[in-house]
Amino acid sequence: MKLKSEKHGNIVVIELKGKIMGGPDAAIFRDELKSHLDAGVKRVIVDLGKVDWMNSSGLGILIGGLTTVKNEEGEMKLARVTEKIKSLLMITKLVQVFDSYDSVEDAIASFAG
Amino acid sequence: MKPTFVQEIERTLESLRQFEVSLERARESGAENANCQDLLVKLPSIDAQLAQILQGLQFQEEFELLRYTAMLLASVVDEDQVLSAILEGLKRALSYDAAGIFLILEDPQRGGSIIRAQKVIGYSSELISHDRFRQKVDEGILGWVIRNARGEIVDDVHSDPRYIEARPETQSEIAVPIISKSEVIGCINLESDRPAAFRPENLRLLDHLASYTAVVLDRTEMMREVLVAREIERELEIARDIQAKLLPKSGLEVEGYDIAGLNVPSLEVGGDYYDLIRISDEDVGLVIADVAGKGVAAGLVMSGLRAALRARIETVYSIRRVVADINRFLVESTGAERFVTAFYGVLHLPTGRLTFVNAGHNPPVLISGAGEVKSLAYGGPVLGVIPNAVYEQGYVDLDPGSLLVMVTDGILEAGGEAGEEYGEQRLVELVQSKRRESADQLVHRIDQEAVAYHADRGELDDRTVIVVKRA
Repeated sequence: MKLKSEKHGNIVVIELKGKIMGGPDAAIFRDELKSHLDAGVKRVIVDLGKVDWMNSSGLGILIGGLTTVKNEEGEMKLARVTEKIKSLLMITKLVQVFDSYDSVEDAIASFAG
Repeated sequence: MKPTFVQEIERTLESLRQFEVSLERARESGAENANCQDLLVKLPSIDAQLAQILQGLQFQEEFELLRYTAMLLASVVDEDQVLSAILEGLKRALSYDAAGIFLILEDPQRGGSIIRAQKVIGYSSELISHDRFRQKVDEGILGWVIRNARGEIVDDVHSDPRYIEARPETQSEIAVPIISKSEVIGCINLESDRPAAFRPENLRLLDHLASYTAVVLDRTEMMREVLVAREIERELEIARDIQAKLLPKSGLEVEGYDIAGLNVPSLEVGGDYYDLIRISDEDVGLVIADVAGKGVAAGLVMSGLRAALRARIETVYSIRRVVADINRFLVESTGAERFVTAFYGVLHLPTGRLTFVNAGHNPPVLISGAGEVKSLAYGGPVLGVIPNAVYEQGYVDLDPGSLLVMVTDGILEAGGEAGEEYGEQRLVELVQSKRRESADQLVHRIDQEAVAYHADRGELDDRTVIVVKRA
């Protein structure tokens, strides 16, 4: 997994890339989230457009991230959810847990409302 | 101690020097004679010869010492014993009053690196416990040797501003760095109660011993790592054993049905779980579950899940209540990243009715006697994430000739990391074409097909399969 963050005002877009499969990725993602939350940025968009593959441990990372952000009274949304991740969310019936958007722009706009 | 004959030669040399001095004085006072003159001429050459013999002997001593140390390294494993022997053996070649092997250590309390005595002789026990034996790297002669990565001789310690006193008797000192993989890891230090007790050629000997010492220290470190790894491996072995014992040893013997299960753990301790439970004369419980993640933590969740589930199945007949209870238990007992996908169904044997809850698990597939395919997805979200999640019960009937197959994602995601997953489509086609085989043959066939499809694309996840056939 590779990770890149970009700030848009008080919103941070974290772009995940490659395979997301748990293990060390969990700590990397959590640390990244924490650094933004500690800096007072509590609106997070996770851009999944460049994720090649994700298994259930990878999904665990997203769930863990959501909890971390919620505990700090922040919000985390998903953008550009790929087919594989969509099907994972369907099977695990976690679709309703995540707020998902087709594009990063839509996700950013959703915070404005 | 030096051998007696070396001491004797040294004494002879010393008395000759004294004789030389007195002759010189006699010559200056004009009381010289021919004999004296002759002796005076010969003396320097005798002196040089003796010095040469002495040096030869010294060299032999050094050689013996190095050979002895090398032998020690090959035969003795205990670090403390080898380091002691190095310092003790050194006495055979070099006279000193105190010696120590010091190592650099990270000390977060004092902010940075310190030098700590690993092995010392000749210092009082009071001194050893004293803070001077834990000095900072930027202090003292030892600190200088470590920072500059080169040996140093100090003929008179009291006139050296770097000197930090460790024993009041010390007059002179020699120290060399211990270098391992081009990095200074410590130093060897000798102190003498005589001034100017050490000569430049002693540095060479000490350098040799320092490299032996580095080997000893490296070896101990490596052995420690191997031992720790072995211990972990042993614990994992135990965890895998325990886990294997928690799974059914065989299929279930049930009149009119053919039921079999298979679990193949990955190299690590896995998080898959399945169970075939005889609840009553008429009811059989079928469980398949997958704890997200691998390793001992996932294994622990799996065994907790099994215990909680088995305890509730005994007393609670409502399937959705069992699942909701387990969900609450897992929300409370696991971190946010850990969740479980599970399918729990109760098969009523006389009618073939399966009542089930699918908690976020990939849907088991039911192929009816007529070949109709149904996915059993009804239920609720994965366990362990949403505290008050609601679970619904689904019903489906296993008519005669029907076949139910449940798997974990280790089967479905085979090959997926590097390309297209094995997936449900291939699984259904396989089962349809081989439906005449026994449940036991089928679970193995499904696993083999998934493994073959995966080929050599990295390590496979845990794989679990349950097949239920109604006659």
